[in-house]
Amino acid sequence: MDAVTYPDERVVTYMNEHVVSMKANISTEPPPGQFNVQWTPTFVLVDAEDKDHHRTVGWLSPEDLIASLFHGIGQTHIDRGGGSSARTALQRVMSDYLDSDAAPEALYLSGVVRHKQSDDIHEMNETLTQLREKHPTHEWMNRASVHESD
Amino acid sequence: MESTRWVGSLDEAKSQAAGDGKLVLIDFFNPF
Repeated sequence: MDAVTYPDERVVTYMNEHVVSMKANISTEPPPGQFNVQWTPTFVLVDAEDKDHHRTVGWLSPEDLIASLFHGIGQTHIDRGGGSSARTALQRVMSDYLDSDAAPEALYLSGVVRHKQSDDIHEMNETLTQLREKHPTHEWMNRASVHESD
Repeated sequence: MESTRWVGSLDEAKSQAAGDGKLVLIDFFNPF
């Protein structure tokens, strides 16, 4: 991360603008129990009240780190009931980082948020179409397929 | 050139996050 991802200018700008960043060396200090970290690197997004909203395990490219953070911020808005803000963050994953690891889940979550906001199950149809076109074999396509009969 | 600003502790990170309305990103790593 220190060699490639963190020095990336886009990562620096994004992290300084959107999150407060800290590194925790688990070889010198065990992680606090509530985080249950078993593998490194593990990236956890928490709020000021210690609530864990999103995590990613394993090395991330600059694009995947930024996409993961947009995804995590979107998930945080979902957790807090902020559907419109969630859609804005998740949309950034789909518009700017469609090839990232975070994109399929972000696409799925965005569809769920639209469905909840509109109370129209057909909002999931567009999500299914996009997942089928862009990520046809991804696990989130499989999870979304439960809505195909709706 | 600007670099990422890192804070030194979780308490400091949470305090800053509360003031700025941000989330805290924790990178749990092991150098070995």
